[in-house]
Amino acid sequence: MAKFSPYQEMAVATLCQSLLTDAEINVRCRVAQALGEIGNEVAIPTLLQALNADSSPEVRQHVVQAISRLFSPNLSDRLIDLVETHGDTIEIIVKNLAERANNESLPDILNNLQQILKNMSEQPKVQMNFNAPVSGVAGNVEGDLIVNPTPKTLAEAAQEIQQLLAQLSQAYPTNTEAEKQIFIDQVDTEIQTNSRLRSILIAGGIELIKILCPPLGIPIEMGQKWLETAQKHRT
Amino acid sequence: MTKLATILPLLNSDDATLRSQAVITLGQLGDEQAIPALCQILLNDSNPEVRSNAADALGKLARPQTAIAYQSING
Repeated sequence: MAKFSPYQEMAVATLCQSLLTDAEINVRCRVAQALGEIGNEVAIPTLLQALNADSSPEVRQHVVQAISRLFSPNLSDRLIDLVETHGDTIEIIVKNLAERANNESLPDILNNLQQILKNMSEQPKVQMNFNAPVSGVAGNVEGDLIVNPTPKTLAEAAQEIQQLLAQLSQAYPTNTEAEKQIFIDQVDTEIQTNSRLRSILIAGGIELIKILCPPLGIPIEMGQKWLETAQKHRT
Repeated sequence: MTKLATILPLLNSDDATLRSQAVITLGQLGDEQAIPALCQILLNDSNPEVRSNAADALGKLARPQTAIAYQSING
């Protein structure tokens, strides 16, 4: 990893701030691109945060490309931990990209991401000790952090499902009432076939539904149907 | 007068097209001392096109190639 001058560190920090705060989609896209070109792994936590939180599919696409350029097998321990907590998110992205892999630039990204997943699964899961508070995308962690593939908090569960819903809402827009109904049915079908989704929904219960529905403009009563489906298909 | 000192005042112009051109030129010059000014533009300029160009310029100036050049000059 190349050493960066203080000026260059400043550029990366400012680009990170802009990625999370600029109101314009075009600006955020070009900021993500710049972070990928610079190649400083310090940007990875911010990029993962944008991947989960940015409302624009176009920005997320640029963020995925930037992330795939930044990841290398030589990531520091703390970053490996971050990647592990986002492993499922990355897996969803890989699947999603694989389904639309007609774009010429996609195979490289896919290879990179698949390599990351492979490296992750080969690395032993270890308990990691942090001597100082760690601020990251999953919140603030103090003391011992035990790597755990299932979401521990409601916020984490919501984040994981929101990622999946965001992918679905790209294919099924929710602008009109009729479209919303189609989207709700699609999620329902997904719940019937996806056991991880079911277990997260059941664990999160109605509180999770209350977090998920409002941003999508879907009434909570409709979301309750998802919860019922999850309970009905419980294995 | 250095190239940088000639261009930096243009970042304060009222004309967004001129600010954009200045930002693009700073990216092409390859002098990382332009980075603080470009950071200010990225966070504070009211024009999205100017901010986008500032992101591009920062991407160019903060690349590792530029870092290696910086280190060989500064030890």
